[in-house]
Amino acid sequence: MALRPGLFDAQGHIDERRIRDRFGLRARVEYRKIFTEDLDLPPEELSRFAGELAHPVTHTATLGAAPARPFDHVIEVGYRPGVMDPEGRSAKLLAGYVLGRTFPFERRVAVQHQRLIRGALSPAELRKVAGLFSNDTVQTFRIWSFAKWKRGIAPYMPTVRVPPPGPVRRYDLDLPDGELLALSAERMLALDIAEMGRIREHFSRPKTVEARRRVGLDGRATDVELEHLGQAWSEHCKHKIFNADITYVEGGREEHIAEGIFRRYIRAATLDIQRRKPGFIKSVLWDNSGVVDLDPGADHYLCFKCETHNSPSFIEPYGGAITGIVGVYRDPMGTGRGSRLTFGVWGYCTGSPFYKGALRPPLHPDQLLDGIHRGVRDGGNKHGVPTAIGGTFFDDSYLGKCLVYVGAAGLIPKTVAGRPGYEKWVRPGDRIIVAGGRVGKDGIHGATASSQEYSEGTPAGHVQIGDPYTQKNVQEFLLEALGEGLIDFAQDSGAGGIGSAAGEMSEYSGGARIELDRDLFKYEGLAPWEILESESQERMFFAVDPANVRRFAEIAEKWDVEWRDIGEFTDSGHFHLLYKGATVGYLDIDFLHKGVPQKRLRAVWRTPEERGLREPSLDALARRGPGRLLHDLLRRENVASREFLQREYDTRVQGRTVVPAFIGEGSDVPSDAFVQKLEFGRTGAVACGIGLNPTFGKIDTYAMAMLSANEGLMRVVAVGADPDRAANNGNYCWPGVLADESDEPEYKTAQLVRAARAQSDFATGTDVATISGKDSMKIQGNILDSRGRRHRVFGLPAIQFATIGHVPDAAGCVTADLKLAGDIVYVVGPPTRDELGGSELHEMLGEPGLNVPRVDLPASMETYRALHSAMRAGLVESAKACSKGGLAAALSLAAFGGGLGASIDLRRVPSDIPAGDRHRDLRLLFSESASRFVVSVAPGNAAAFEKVMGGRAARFGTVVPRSVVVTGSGGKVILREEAARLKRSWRSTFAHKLHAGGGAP
Amino acid sequence: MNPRAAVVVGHGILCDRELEEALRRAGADAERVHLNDLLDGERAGRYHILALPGGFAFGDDTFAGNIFAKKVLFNPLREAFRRHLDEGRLVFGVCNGNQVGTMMNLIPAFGEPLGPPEVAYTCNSSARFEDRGNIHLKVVSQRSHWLKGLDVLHNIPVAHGEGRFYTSPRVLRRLRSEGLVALRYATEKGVPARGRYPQNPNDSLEDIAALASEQVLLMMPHPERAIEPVNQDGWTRRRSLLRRRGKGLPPEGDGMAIFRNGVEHVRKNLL
Repeated sequence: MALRPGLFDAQGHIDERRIRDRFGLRARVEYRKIFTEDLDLPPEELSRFAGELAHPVTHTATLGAAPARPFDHVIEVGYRPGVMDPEGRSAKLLAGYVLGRTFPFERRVAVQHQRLIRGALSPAELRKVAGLFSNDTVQTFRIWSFAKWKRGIAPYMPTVRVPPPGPVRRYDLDLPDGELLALSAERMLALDIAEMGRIREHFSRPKTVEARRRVGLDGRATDVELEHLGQAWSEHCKHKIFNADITYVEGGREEHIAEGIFRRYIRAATLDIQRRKPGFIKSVLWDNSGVVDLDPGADHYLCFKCETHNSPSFIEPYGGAITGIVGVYRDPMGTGRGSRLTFGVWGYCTGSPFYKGALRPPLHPDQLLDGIHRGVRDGGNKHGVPTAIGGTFFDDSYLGKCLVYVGAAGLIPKTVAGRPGYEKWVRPGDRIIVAGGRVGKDGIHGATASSQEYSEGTPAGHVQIGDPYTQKNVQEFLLEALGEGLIDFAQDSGAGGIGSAAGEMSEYSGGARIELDRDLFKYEGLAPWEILESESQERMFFAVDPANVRRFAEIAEKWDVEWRDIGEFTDSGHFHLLYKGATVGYLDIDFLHKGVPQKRLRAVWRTPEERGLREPSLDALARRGPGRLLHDLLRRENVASREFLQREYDTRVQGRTVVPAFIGEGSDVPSDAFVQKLEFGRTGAVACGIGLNPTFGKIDTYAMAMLSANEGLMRVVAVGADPDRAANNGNYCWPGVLADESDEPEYKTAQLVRAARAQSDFATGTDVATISGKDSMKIQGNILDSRGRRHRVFGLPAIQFATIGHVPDAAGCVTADLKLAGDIVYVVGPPTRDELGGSELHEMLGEPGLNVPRVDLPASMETYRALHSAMRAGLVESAKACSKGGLAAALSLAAFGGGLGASIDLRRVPSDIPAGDRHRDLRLLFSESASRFVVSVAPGNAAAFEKVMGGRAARFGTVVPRSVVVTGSGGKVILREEAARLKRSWRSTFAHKLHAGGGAP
Repeated sequence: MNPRAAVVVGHGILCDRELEEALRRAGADAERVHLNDLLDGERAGRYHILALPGGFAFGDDTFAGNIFAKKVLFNPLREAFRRHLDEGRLVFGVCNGNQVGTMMNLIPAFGEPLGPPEVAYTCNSSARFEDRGNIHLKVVSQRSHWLKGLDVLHNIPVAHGEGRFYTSPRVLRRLRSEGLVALRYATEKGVPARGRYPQNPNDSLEDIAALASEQVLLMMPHPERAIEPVNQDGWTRRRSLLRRRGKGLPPEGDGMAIFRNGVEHVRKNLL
């Protein structure tokens, strides 16, 4: 399928740009698409099918090799065998509609992408260029010269050839420790000796032996059982580090955290808040997402969950990221008995897109970011869920592994079939039904692989291509079945597949009996353990009363959702697995879920001073002058406009969006938070904002966690959310803390303890509960440099706090852009302090410094409540939360966001920085002291606003037409910059990634 | 009795609930109906308005709108569409629904109605999916029942990757002369964008954002995402200006006028 001559080839054009930007090579690219089929069609039908593939106005479809003007080379990219090919699947459906029949599942259409290259590229250059369009883990490419291509090329039809599986293997576990560990390694179980020892001990118990004999198993463990234990006890599923017994040492004092940091710091604070706010927090920390009653008058609860999808995205960014976002959607969908997705969030941390250093990660950060971005874009847009808001953080510590945060919120009907929508249950006798995608070998060992450090040997088998099309059908089918009260329990199937999903569900009834061969397969040849552990996507599990199965099936068929009944829930106390009638696994439920031994860790904190940190001199920066410094700051990659990402995400689908990702006079400045009505026709809305700033962790992870959580809350308050009706989701991404995987295990463990403690202090001090969350350990990689030497790269510890809050009246929302000249500008919140530690200004010096901002939680909450009251009274025209770049950056964004300027006087900013400090003005402009806002108020409302704020707002300027003008501590103007020029600087960094306009030359 | 509208869903249609809401607010009894429940052509006859929502039907695979349109055209539903139009009933298609309607040749149908398409909405010149809220539309023909009395629609969102209007010079001339060109991308003042990006967000030929006949409106931008003023870009800025004049935001968003027109036409002429 090729474009008609004379039409503008947008795809080819953008490919040329990528080749030029990435490698500095010049080549013309002509794009076309190949459909390869094995439908066994007679010629007449084949040509009819081909004719329906192309748009007759713009494209031509040719059977066989399409004619082409001479070119130099052609690069053809196609999927490897067994990888999901959504477009091929759709094209096969088209053939069915057009020809009026259906084809068996095994018959396929596959899609390849051809780029005709005109330009003198060497073979090595061609391979590099092909690598831009093809990811080796899921795709393969072929290159021909024009002459070879003219002689004819063989079609490419990826075909899975899997030998029939061998018999179930059985392992005698009565082995010495060394051989047990070797077994763990051989089967990639990623279990340590304590865990393997516990399994050995369990299998040797007479009670176990006797129970197994009754179902026809001997004393040996089957491969099904070992694989299942490896998965169920993986770090990914069991969070063994968050549950470890930790001895924390600080300043010579030891503290014993026997119950682990999850229980002590996260769970305790959340459950405490739930006790105090039972009307708000409905269901937390057990289901697939946390549930709040955000708007008491609405018909729905809101549920919310964020995830990470780091390891797969690092290897295959597009597939990893699309699988990540489509995967996290199943968390709200699998909360209670089901929910309707309402918005999603994103966050990416990679090395600098401009990285020019010696390390050679598998993909350059720029290409990595591009793939992640396209994956999240397609997953969100094609699922009909607004990809509402997000952020990036670039740091070369993520060259070893990137972070991909994805999150989703859903709406749960308050009452379903007479019971609260967040309740779910499994009754013995309920059928186990799986619906959605089919099972293949993809995704095997995903749960264990994500718990490992990256190296070239990391198996790519756990990388998949998510399919939003299939899952959207599952979502709609789920809603209809939910509405009819047919579902007892909805469950996501993600990492760990059937074993994990049905395994967790079986805890509720006390057992399950599963016939593995009754699932739906992509192809033959899967061993029973592979069926159990496969992480094939777009699958959900349901517990359904046998009386409801028929109706359930009718709805599934209406929505083209494939489903299978694979067994029943029991109260046998065992997870019973069968394959073709024979028992292949029989595991005690209690042992499976509670048997994993607790790890013991030691944490030793070293203070920033002990680590040699100090406050850097600002003299060199001061010489640039405040104006130039501000331009330089706005151009920095962690401050500059990242419109090239968010612009491609649909933020308004579903029609309830009130504050989209971009605001202001040009609709191109980011909002602090996203706001969406919960339901048409109601005034209540949800705000969602992101806090993520790993830089502070270079000094102290306590500050990093505290400031990130606080930033999330500030952002939702800035748009109009009630600080007393807010909650968050915390996602930890941490470098390895275990002795065998870390350069400084005890210190990194101490960093983790401090972060969790900060999260607890924040929750207790604000009553903002963490309703859901996740941890992803081993953010690190073992990568080569340009001379072939190995380097271990550990990622900066990071926590993304995605905060949600209740906006009582959507029509009262406030945006950050200044509105009208003459309005009064205030700095709101606690004083600005000498707190440049971890600031973007210090980053410009390459030194974090020491004076990291402290958060005064009582003063912050008083500020948030007062500001919220002022907004409720309609007294606020604009509000911008201060974060990276401090007051100077916040004021600049508010100004050019409104197409206006502001004249401010630093002498009126409340501060305890001594008058004699010669860098006082720089500190006032760029300190990232917490909990401050830049707010503008109409002159007529100033007195009322000040009264409501009760001394927490300082009038420090006015809105003016053009420029940002700053009067310094000495009473002189120290900065006068046109807002439009500041905006240009801020947009310049990634301008090359935006479309410049125009089309056909 | 109220006008009845079917909002067709299934196969990756995504923007159905907001379209249903817009039609309801305009006074129609709107309901979401799965394409599979319409294929035999019988149920379609119940409705005065067939509405094709936005989305990614079949993932936009092969090209946007193609497979969904073919599923209609190779089933009895095709004849139901013909009857629907013969009886003077209305069709509305937005974004992906526009692409579907275009593939069904609901407009311009110079050749065979429900035959091969004569215009295309193809890959944006940016080769990117773009989401923008500050798109303004100039109504350049009031021939359609959907557009009576309208002039400029402000801040109507677009969200698409394949929205670049394209056709042959011959078809374009005839579209213009017969008044089938309905909406053009425009500046805030309502002047056609003349290809300037991002006012014309996809490099559409002659800024064309929609074609419309009397009964059929097929448009790329999303009026159903502009039901209320608070859904429209810049609303907090307008609120600030209006407050100083002692006024508030209008009761409805710019998008609603289209739906009110369509539903009113049915009420007056087809009930």
